[in-house]
Amino acid sequence: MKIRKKFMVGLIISSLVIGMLAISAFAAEKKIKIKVWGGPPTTYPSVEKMLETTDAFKARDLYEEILFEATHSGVDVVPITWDMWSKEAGRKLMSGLASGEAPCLYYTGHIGGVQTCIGQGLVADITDLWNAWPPHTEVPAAFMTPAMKDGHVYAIPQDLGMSWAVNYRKDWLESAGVFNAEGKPAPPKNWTWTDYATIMKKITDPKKGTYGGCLPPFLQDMIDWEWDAPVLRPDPTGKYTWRANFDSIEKTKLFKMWHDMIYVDKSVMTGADIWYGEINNAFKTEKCGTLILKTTHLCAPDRWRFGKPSEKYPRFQECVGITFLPAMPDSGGMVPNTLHTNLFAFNPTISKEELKTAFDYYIWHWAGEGRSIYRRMRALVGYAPYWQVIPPYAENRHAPGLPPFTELFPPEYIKVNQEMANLPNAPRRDAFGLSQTHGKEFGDVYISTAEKILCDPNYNTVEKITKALQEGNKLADETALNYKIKGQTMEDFKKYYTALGEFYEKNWPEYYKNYWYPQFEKSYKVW
Amino acid sequence: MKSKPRTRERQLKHKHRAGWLYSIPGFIFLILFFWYPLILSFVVAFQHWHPIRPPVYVGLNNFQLVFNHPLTPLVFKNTLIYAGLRIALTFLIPIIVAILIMEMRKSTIRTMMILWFIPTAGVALTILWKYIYNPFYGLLNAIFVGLGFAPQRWLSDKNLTMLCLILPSLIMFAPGLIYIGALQTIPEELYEAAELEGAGFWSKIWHITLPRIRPVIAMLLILAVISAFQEFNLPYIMTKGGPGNATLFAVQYLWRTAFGYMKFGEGTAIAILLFFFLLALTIIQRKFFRENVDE
Repeated sequence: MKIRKKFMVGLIISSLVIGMLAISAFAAEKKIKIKVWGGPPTTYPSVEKMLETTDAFKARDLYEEILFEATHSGVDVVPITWDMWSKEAGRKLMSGLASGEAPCLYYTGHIGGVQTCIGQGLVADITDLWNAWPPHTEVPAAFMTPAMKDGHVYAIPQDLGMSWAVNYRKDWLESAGVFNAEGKPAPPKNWTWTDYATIMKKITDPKKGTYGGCLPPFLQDMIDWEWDAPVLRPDPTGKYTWRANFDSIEKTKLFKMWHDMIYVDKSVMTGADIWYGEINNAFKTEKCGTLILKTTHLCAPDRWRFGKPSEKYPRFQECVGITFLPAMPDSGGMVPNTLHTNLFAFNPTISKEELKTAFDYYIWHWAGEGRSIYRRMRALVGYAPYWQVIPPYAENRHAPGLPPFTELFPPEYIKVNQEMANLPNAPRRDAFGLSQTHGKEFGDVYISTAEKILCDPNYNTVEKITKALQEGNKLADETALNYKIKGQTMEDFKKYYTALGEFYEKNWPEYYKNYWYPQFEKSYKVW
Repeated sequence: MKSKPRTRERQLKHKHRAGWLYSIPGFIFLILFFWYPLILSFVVAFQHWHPIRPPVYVGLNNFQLVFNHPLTPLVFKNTLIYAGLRIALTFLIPIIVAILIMEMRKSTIRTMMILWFIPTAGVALTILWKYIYNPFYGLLNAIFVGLGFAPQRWLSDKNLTMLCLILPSLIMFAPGLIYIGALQTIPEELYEAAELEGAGFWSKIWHITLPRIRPVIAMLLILAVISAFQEFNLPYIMTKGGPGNATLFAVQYLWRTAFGYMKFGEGTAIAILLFFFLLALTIIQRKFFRENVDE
């Protein structure tokens, strides 16, 4: 009896406990979990330990996580450390998507860019979310058109905006006697590639083994893609959408100029093994007097100096000037608006609720309260908010309490950046439903073609360069461009090229006359 | 009397079972990380594979695309040239060097063995070599300029790039130590007998040394051929296949196709082709290269 009684009591108690647990689990609020990129590293055993290290950035990540959760009930923000930028990032993202481990938002550049990802179904459609966020109208079109297709939005800009620019050593130019009209050691206003070549020659010193600049083949591709350059032409047969147009009038001319600078003047360095890091290092180690790079890349380290980190060496602010990219000769100083940003897309495998929460989080993180925290914190620890120069989000452009970065950067730097942001925007083919969806593959063909020409002294005539460019066209046509966009018609081309022609005629008439219109007659007008 | 064989049988059974139990972790590892991906790759090669959508069977389409791709012949030509040069330089030279070293004093042999045995991390060394070749501040150009020559664009000159990629392999793939080890196992008596019969230096090498180390050469040759055809690190880190695809090899081509352009089916088809190519090469090699010392 006793055993039976004990058993019964035990059964009732355990039933009660299980029942209560079940009720509490059922009653508990179901949280929406979002995996966000970043977060505190797992190497810190506790928050206290983390704070002890004075790792302000990690502390801020944790603070943001807690604050967002506190102000958005039912949300569980799970920061995960995720490799977003290395060479292996694309492969890791693919594995993460297949296994369900990828974060809710990621950079698409390593997996072909937004347009490629749209075709592959690797990005979520966020049109409704974007349109429902009122300040979206203030985001410049230059940032958003590459993120859109057929009126739908698939990506949001990161918190930084950048533009291609030429950084130059003022002290080098001064020593070589290069002054602008105002008598300052700077390239002339509205300079061309011819001026660039002349200056490179003047500041090169073969005895010291220093060069005026560095023009690696990859720069051709990078610069072109940002401004929608004429490396594509419509397929006149209508079988495909695009055909490669590497041998356009201006590309052929530009390749010849670059080749002459490399092999005749010997004033610039090039190489298939030279990428971002190498050109940056060459400039910092005083092997090159100029550097073509994105605006945010060099201006950041206000703390570094040329030479050794000692007081006697000049600081970046004291001897680096910044200016626009050179224009083509006889183009009336046409400089394209190269304003752009890193585009981040949302994981298409997450649920609708998770997508909405993730969208809210990143808007809060990059353009809302999260951003303010970040800015205050950076001001607090004494860093310049260097990427505030042309940020995509209006909040970041107008928010009060900005640290005086004019003290850290020369006024000309701010001025040039603002001028770059105000350059007219050419109509983008993406906005006309004419996206180039195989960006990476096409880019690789273009870079390999540029390498072939620029790394070989034998391509020293226009005929030889044209032949190499035409071979590149053939390779790109057969590999990256052998597709036709669904529903694309000749009418789309007519609209796009008409708008483009009007844009150039209005803003850059000389360029229109000498470059754009001859090319239009030769290969764009297919309808 | 009957119990003894039964006990032995039981012991054998126990040993057998223990053997299997000890092997299970290894088997699981092999199945998960070797056999499963291998079998899967044969499946993916016939599919249009997508990371988040269901795969679609496409038959031989991926293989057709690979065969018709304009870069395929160039890539396999590059790989063959690279493999040929690398085997010629990094496989044959150490045999000659090892034989010559064996003619030296014992202390020199020991020093050389230590030098050859210094462990080097492949990727780290490759990055180091990239700096050595750097056109701005590389060691090689510093030496060249110091000697009064013009600086070179080592990794950007299509005539030099291939050799520049092979040079680090001379150090990283160093079978010299294994050759010395094999040479030391040859009985001295064989050489003494040959000398008594009037054999010279070259005659001894041809008739004694080379036949005696033939099994080692055969084994290393197979490994060298496979590793040369599967080269990835060097071009990936140093040249990214450039200049103008001059150093784009098969493995980087398949990696780029699969992960760069998200054409996983086509990338896997290239891998399958490479697999069968290497398999055929190994079979031919084993058929024509006798390993038995006494044959």
